[in-house]
Order: sequence, then structure tokens, then C-alpha cells
Amino acid sequence: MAESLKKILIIDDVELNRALLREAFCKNFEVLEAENGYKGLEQLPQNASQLAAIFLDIIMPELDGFGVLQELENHELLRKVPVFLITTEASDYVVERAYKYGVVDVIPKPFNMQIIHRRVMNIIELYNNRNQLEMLFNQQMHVLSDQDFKLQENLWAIIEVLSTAAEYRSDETGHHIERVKNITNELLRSLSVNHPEYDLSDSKIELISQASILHDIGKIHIPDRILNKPASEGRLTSEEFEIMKTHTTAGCEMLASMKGFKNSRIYEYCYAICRSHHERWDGKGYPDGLTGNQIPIAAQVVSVADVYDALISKRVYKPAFTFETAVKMINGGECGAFNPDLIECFNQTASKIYDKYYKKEFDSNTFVK
Amino acid sequence: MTFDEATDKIGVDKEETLRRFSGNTELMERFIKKFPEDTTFNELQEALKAKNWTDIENTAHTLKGVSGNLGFHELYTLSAALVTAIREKNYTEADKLSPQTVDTAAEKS
Repeated sequence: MAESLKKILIIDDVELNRALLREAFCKNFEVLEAENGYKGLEQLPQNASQLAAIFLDIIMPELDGFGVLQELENHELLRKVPVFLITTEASDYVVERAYKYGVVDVIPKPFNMQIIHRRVMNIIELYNNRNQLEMLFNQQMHVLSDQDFKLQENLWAIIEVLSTAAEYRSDETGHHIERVKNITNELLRSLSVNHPEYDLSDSKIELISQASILHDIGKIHIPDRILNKPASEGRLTSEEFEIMKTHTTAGCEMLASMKGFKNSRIYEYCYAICRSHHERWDGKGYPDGLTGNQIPIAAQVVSVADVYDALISKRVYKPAFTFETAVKMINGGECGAFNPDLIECFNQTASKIYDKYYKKEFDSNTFVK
Repeated sequence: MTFDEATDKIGVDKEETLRRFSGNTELMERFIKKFPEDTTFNELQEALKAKNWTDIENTAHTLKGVSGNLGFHELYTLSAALVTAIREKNYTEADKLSPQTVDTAAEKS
């Protein structure tokens, strides 16, 4: 690896100093020289990656040593390349200031070449090792991060399968959960762009979208006779409806009872969505009758996604509607009352969502105006 | 006078200086011979004439470095003292030292 660090740069206006240092190190490195700060900096672009060390004088015309150090700092080179200060003036003031500027060691004049050579080589080796370690570390982090990502992907895939299984009794196509997740994601992204006040970072959007998978997990608690009441028997009675409504509370209570789960970052979103995805902007929803933005935004978004999917898909109790109809119904308040900001985003993205997630699956026969 | 005789007269510790040149005798000789050509000395004289203390300080500082590395001990000590005097604003001392420095430098050449 030492092959890649082959050069040293000597920046000093006194030729004698440059010659002495060159003489001492020319067997180990290719030596570059400069007689003032600017000329020294000029050599950096092509040589920076191969520099093992820089020797710097303080007192020089045009740009002095401290000026050079500042520039090196700006280019973030000080971490990678050791800079040695050469000076006759080894006064405390100068030395301290040099260290503050990032110099690694001070070489006093007149030179004792044996000592200097030893010190410099030691430090170059240390820097070399450190740079290599950093490189290895970064490579490892990439590998780990890739593995971590794949692991997460697998886990979420499993969760999605399980949730689909949980809704198996009532989910006719088996893709409702996936679609709600995707629609939720699209809506959240639109919301974060148009309304930054909702504070939806990329990671939050990711979490909420994943959390939406569990929105109807409470349906496990609902008896078959209600969950899958045949259309021929008519709509749910008010008692049956009351029981149906409990899928919200039953679901979130089930989530809350899992002690380990409560500690994860995603828990609050799963709970909020599960419990409040049937709330209404006007307060006439259930189970808590929350109004406006009392309803967690995560739940609000999943609510719209859920309704949109229900409208566009075929269900036991209804045919599939066209997306124009669905948009009209949602805007008209026929399927619930929603946050105007959210409706605005929905209107902007409804068509895109339809094209992306629905168009292929349906042919024109499925639709009824 | 041969090179060796000259260096002996000036009082250069050749062995010590040679070590500084990493053993390269040729290089050492070249630079010692170059010393008379070094403009720093002239610059110092100019600065003294103009009584420009900053310039005097800088040139004396450079001279100190050069003489130090070449092993010209006497000159080194003098120029070092000159620099210190100026920094301490001890101008009288400086006044005294500067001619001495100039003389010694001239001698070495």
C-alpha cells in the first residue's frame, strides 16, 4: 500500500533548506519543491493523492506557512497528509500557533538530519496506517449497511405476508395491504413537498408506509359472520357495525400488549394508524371522535389510501369504480371527511397512483360508472 | 587557499555539517561555496542603510537559518542575537550587533 504514497512536497523560500531536505529524503520519495506558498499549493491538485508528507516553512513571501495551512485545511488534506513545520523560530508562540493550524510536528533549524529523518518516517508510517484503516473501515461499513438493508427488506416482506394472511378472510384480492402502503407512501411524499409543516422526513415516510401494513390487524378479532356477511343478507345491523368498529381498538390494544414492540420507533405509527384510521376530519369518526389534526397525520393518510383503494377495487358489496368517480366521491365527502391539505395532495397524485398501481390489473370490463 | 583550509579558518565543523547534508560532500561544498552569492547578506546591508527594522529582522533571520545549516557558528550566534535584539526592540544592542554581523558575513565570503 505504501506504493501509492510516493511524493513529498517541500515549501521553503531558502534553497539551502530545500536542498538539505531533498538530500535526506530523495532515496525514499520523489521530491517536489516550491519556493513559496502559492507555488506549493499549485502542485496539490495532481499530487495530493500521492503525497506522503509536506514540509513547510513559515516565513515566505507571497503566501506564508499559515496561509498554506489554512488552504490545506480547506481542502481537508490535513487529516491525510502530515505537515511538518520547518523553522528557525521554535518559539513557543509560533509552535503553538502551528499546532493549532494542524501541523503534526515542528522541525527546528539547524537540521539534525538523522533525527528528522527518523521522526518523519515514523509519522508517515502512522498516517499511512491510519489512512488504510479508514479505508478498510469504510468498506466494511458499506458491506454491513448492505447486509442490514437486505435483512430489513426480508423482515418487512415477512410482515407483509403475515398481515395479508391476517386479512385473508376479508381481503378479496390479497393485494389491498400492499396497495394501501404504496398509496400512503405517494400521499406522504406529496404532503411533505406541498406542506412542510407536517414535518415528514424521508425516514418518517418510510416508517409510516411500513406501519400502514398493520392498519386492519384488528380484524382478526371480528367474527366471520360479521366480517364476511354475504351481500344477500343486507348491510350490517347497528349492533354488527358496533362490533366491526372495534377492529380499531382491538388492533391497537393488541399492539400495545407486545412489550418488545413498544420500544421500536415504528410502534407509535402502527398504533396511531390502527386506532385512528376510521376517524373523520369533522369529528364524526370512531373510535375516539377526534377532529381535525387531533387525528395523527399517519392515520389520516392511511384513511384516504384505504378509501381510495376500496373505491377503485371490486369488493363483495360493490363493483370497482373508475378513478374519476373515486376522486369525485372523495372530494364530495361521500366516503368520509378529510383534511383539505390532504385532499389537495390526493387530487394531485390520484392519477399518477392509478396509472402506477391499478391500470395494468384492470381491463375496461371491470368498470362501472 | 583550498576549500578545506577556508572552512577551517571560518571554523566550520565539517563533520557535523556533512551529517546535515546526509553525507553528500559534493552538495555541501557546493552550498558553502555558494554562500558569497547569497543575496541575503546584501539585503541585510541595504536594510541597515535604510534602517528598516522589519527588513533587518527578516534578513537576519534568514541569515541565521542559512549560517546555522552551513555550520557557520559564529555568524549564526551573531545573527540570532541580532534578531532577538530587534524583537525585543533593543535597538541599541541591535545597532551594535549589526556591524559585527555584517563584518563576520563579509569575512566568510
